[in-house]
Amino acid sequence: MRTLEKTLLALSCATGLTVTACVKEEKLPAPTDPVTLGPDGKPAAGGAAGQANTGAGGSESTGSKSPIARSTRSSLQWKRHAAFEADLSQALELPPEELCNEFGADSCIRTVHLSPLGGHNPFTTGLLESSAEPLVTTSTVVERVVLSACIARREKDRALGQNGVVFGGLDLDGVAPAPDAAATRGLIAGLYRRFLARDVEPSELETLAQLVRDEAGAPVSASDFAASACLAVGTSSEFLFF
Amino acid sequence: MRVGSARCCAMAIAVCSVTAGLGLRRAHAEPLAPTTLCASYPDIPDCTGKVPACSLCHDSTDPPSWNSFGLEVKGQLSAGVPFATALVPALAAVADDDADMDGVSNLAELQRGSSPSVADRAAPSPMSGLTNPRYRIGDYDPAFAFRRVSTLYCGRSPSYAEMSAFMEGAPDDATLKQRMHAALDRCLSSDYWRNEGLLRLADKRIKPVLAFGKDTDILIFEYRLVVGDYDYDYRLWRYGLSEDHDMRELLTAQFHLVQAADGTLQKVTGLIEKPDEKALAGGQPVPAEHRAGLLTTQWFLAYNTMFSPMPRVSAAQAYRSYLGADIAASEGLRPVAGEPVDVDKRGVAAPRCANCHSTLDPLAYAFAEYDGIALSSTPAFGTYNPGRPSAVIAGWNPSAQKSVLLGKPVSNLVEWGKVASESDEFKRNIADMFFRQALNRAALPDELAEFDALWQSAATDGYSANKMLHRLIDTHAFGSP
Repeated sequence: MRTLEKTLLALSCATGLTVTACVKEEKLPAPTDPVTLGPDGKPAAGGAAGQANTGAGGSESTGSKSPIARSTRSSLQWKRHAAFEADLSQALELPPEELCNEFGADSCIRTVHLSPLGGHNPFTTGLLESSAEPLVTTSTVVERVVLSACIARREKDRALGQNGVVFGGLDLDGVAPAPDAAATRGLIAGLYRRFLARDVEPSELETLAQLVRDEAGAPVSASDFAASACLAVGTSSEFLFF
Repeated sequence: MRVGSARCCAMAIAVCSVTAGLGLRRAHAEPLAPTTLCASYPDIPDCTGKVPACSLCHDSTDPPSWNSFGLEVKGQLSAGVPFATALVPALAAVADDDADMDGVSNLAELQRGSSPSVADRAAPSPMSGLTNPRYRIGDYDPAFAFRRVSTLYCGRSPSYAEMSAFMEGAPDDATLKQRMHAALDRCLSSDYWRNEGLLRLADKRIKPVLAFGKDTDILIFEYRLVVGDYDYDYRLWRYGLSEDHDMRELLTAQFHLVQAADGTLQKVTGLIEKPDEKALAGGQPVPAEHRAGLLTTQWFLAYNTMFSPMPRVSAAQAYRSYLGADIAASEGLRPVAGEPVDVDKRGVAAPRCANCHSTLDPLAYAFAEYDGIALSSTPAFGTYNPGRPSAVIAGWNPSAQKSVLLGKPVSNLVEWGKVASESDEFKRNIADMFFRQALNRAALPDELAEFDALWQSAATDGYSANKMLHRLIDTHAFGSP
């Protein structure tokens, strides 16, 4: 899991709009021009959303040799429950009721963890306002919901095989492909488009591709890679704030 | 720090009732300073569509204690001089001081809308030549704003395809803004905004209680415990703040709204019966000519006034919800001469109470003609009852108890709603609600100019909330990362 933790940290530092707490020792690659990946998962020319200022992304430059300008207004907004649910649903092409349910019964987002996710329901809980700031359990809940949704998508895709919606490029019953394999790069590129509405940058691609190996350098299962890559992008600050 | 040219303006910057420590023996139950200040200097932010809260000078008003700015003013007041007279030179004396020692003078803080007793954070640091490959840091960024528009008002982020379409053709900023406003139009007519995003803004104003709503299954004897049907309130809220309707109708509408099968809202002007014989209440019993929008729905009156002869809670809730002034937080205090008379003998004329009740009681008189919950042989819930004040308030004098709202006499609740809906306070409060919904904070001092322009354009825009939101997304505060 340490690889995943490092990856999550790297991604959380990615937007350039977050607080300046990202660690200096994470020597991440300097920003480069955004690229579009072709069907083979390799950088290709063209592509609209990833090229100019899309307002959607950032560069993993925190702590790098080339720091980028950061927001001075602290106006980044917390994506609350409704948009969080809609965006997860949109990204993974899952209906909201399949994203996450506690005990298979109650919606994690709309019912059980509504308050930590920034919502309120005056009719069922008596709360008349949402929390102004994330609660102490918010980060845990976010991870729980995203991981649940990623696994739900993965299991659906396992049944669909090569026709899988998100993970169709992987053999989910085998081992993860190599870091530079088309399947690896294609999945990561697809996740960026799905969650962040932009093309992945080479530095980000390299960061996430590390997830195909464990700390000892051995390949993980494709199934684990699928879930961890999905979790990494789905819990990035760029996805959770706007 | 000196602010020489504006020094003369400082003379009335007294926003606290600092008389308690003056040596003046008379306790000032009515906070004179807020309105005194605003009468002299209506253009400072704290006097634009509001009056300052006591907290500008006070840590507490009972027992009185002062913050650093209040102490400076207090220290300059002359003993034996009437408060209003003493205030003026005292403030002039402290105008160029810096009570919170943040490098900005007291007067400059008031002029820009920050607190003279709370040290401001350091100004944003310059970018030192750094750039950002994705965001226009410090400038309006249409793509950044577009994502915000979609997330806030459509309830979802734009997809990759939508972002690509937004940026398609290397458009100039004018084109991007045009696309962004088109997206906002789509969002404002979306199911998310009309039935979720907008309605959640009403919750703390309407304060629904499922157990007392029209669908309750709680029984008292054989009757269902329906106190009111707040769905009418939510529908009026949605109506007044969508589709370019006139937002003033929130406080002036003399109709109610029912939802047709196709989801459209249809006006009903007649009385509306309770949903069934087994429901204690429900429907809308106030005749059209005595309606004042959300102030006279059965739910509002029954839930807020309840069993109180003097409907102070109703008045305070209306003042807080629609004019942005929470009297419990010493906001919006505009004492009326001679008040409070303590018409119901509750002891509110005591100095510690009169501080707020000199404003609150005159606000509440107009609500007294409406029942909250009247349990008699024929129970009444939220009905119009002009004989009620004399019947339930022992000291009521119809020729003496006149409502006053924002310094203006109002003869009844219908007029109360009209004066409120025309006020700067109302416009400012709606703008503030949308601003906070978008940015999770109030406007910062350097954003106040565009914030004021936002609500001051309401009349020009036909009091359309949608047009206000179109202006909001154009602000630097909204679109600058």
